[in-house]
Amino acid sequence: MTVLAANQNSRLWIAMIWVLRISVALECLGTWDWFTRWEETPFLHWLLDPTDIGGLNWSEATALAVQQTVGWLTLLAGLITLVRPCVGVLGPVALVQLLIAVAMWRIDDGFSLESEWLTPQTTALFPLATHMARFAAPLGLLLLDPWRVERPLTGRRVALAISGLRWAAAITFFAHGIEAWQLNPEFVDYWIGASERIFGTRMSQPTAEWLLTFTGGADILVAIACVSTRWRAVWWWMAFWGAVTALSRIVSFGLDIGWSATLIRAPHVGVPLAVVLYWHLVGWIRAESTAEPAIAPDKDEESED
Amino acid sequence: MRLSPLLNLVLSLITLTCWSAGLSSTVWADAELEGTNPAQWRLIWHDDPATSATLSWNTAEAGKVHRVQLRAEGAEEATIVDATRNDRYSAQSPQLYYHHARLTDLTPATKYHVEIESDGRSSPLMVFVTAPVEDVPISILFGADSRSGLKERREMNAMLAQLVAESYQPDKVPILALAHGGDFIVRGSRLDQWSQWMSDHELTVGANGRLLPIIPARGNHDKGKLFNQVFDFPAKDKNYYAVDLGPQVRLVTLNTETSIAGKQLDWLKAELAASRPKYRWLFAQYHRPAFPAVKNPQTNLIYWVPQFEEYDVDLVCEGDGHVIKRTPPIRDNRIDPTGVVYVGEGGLGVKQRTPKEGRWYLQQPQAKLGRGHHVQVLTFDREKLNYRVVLMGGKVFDHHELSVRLPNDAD
Repeated sequence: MTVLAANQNSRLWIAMIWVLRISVALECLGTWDWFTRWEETPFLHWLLDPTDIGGLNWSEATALAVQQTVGWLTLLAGLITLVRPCVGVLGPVALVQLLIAVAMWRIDDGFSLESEWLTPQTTALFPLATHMARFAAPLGLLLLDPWRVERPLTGRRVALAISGLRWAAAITFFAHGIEAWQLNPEFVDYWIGASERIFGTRMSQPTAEWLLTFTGGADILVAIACVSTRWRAVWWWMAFWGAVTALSRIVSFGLDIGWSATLIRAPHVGVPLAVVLYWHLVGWIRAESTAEPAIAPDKDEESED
Repeated sequence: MRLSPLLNLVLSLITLTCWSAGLSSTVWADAELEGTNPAQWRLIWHDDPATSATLSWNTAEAGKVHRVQLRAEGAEEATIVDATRNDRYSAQSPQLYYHHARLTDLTPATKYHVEIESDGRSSPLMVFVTAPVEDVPISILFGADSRSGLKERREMNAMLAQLVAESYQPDKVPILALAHGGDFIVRGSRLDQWSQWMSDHELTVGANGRLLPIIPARGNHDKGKLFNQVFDFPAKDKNYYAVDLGPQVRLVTLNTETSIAGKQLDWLKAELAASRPKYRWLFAQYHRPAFPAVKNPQTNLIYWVPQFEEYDVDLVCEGDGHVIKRTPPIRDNRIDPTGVVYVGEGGLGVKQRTPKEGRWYLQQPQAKLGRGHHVQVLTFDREKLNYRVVLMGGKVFDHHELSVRLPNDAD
């Protein structure tokens, strides 16, 4: 039995698993609200739009019925995730999130910037990058906490999951950083709205743009750091900043409109939080193994470091 | 490409049939994009259409001399106006060059004859009319969402030309321009789509060569640099501006695709504060709706709507939903006779949706909802704002009147 396997009952491991379970469940809850109450989603528009412009040209009634069904099934999957995460549940959840990104790519609904240096083909693909954490969270959970799969998990499986989550978070932050750095007008208005609601004073657009340039640059640096270093502070920052940016939807739009947009982004918090908990676990194992030389991390765990 | 004699004959017969059927504007459409042959012309209004306009066109090759022959009705001699902004569109393909001739010092309410010339190759002779400075009744078209449904888009454009032609009959109120509420095309970075739109826009030119000026608003599908190149905005322009359609009618065009709460809001507050006391009719257009009939509200509900209410804007035109919408007057998020009416939602070709009738501001009979390709015709006179929705085919779907809000010194 490997050291990591021996620690799959530790509090850190369990906390990591529950962070991912709750993130996926909240993501599903937000998606359900978006799909069934608000209805207007890139997914729906993809189903509706004519084929010559990237859509599937379904009738409105059919498209809405399909989306409603998908929304309710996603909610059900989110609830099941809390108790029995398995392929039959997490696979479709990841697929729905992937399809939302694909829809945005197909109908060109994901990048509102006038970039001087990004080609239209690149910007059209941006939603696949910005949504990466959202479909990586259920897939990572599937590898780390599969129901009815014999325990303990192999180190290779864990390494694959953590690598996937690590890169997904990095790509998500990098893409959002590019958008912020390029002054996405929606983000500018988030800053202005937040300053108005929280501090009661309206921030000027140049100030908001300066902050956005700064935070966008920070996102890019953090994205690079999280795949090139093992600083846990980077991951704590990502989790914190993921929460701030997700909550900015509520601050900007109000609770009624903003809560589902915030919950859909739960993996922006959950994925980095899960990874940092894993690093803490590995650190703890290492400390223990130093104290007791007879127990040492196996090859797979070391490679993950 | 050379056409066979038989195909030529068939095309000629189709053209003749269209002419006799009253769709003669098709004669002007699809000018050949070859060499420096002028094509894809459009007349754009940016600020003071009584005295200025931009006449724009495209060529397949760069060319050297691009100019417009301009002659006021009744004048003997034409003046030459050089295109001062000539360049290749920034998209890699297709290879296409834009030319913008800025016509200034025009005489208000005057018919001008224009002929575009690029390296000796000429367009057909066309005409346009400048906006009046006298307080006379005027009409304007509002439409949005021409991004898909290309066949329907062309049919709608032909209908617009007919509406304009009819409006210049005696005892009618002339339609001055088309306010386009955005989503011209699907992908704003695709020049091939813009090129198709510009060719289709030629169909708005009437049988007598009458150009329909356009006042463009940017939609969420119109992102990218090409929008400013097509419509002669400065490269970094954010596309919010106001146009006088007469001494008592002002149209404010806003941009939902840039910061809503920042500099644009400051500008809007200043614009409405300055304009409201001066103009009998003050109305706005933009793309994504604050009171949507299909989609979800945008932050303009939070930032712009209070301004519209504070300054008693008469009418707000919105696009994006792909339905027909007229709300009851709204103030403080409830129906109020003193409030602002929101209309539009876009039907210049795009596939139509079903409005969500359950929303509080869409309850019948105070609201009017429907679906179908359409255009709004707004007619302003000294007492009333007359609002009509005309469906493809000419049937009037909705008719509504608004009274003047404030006593005006000009009266």
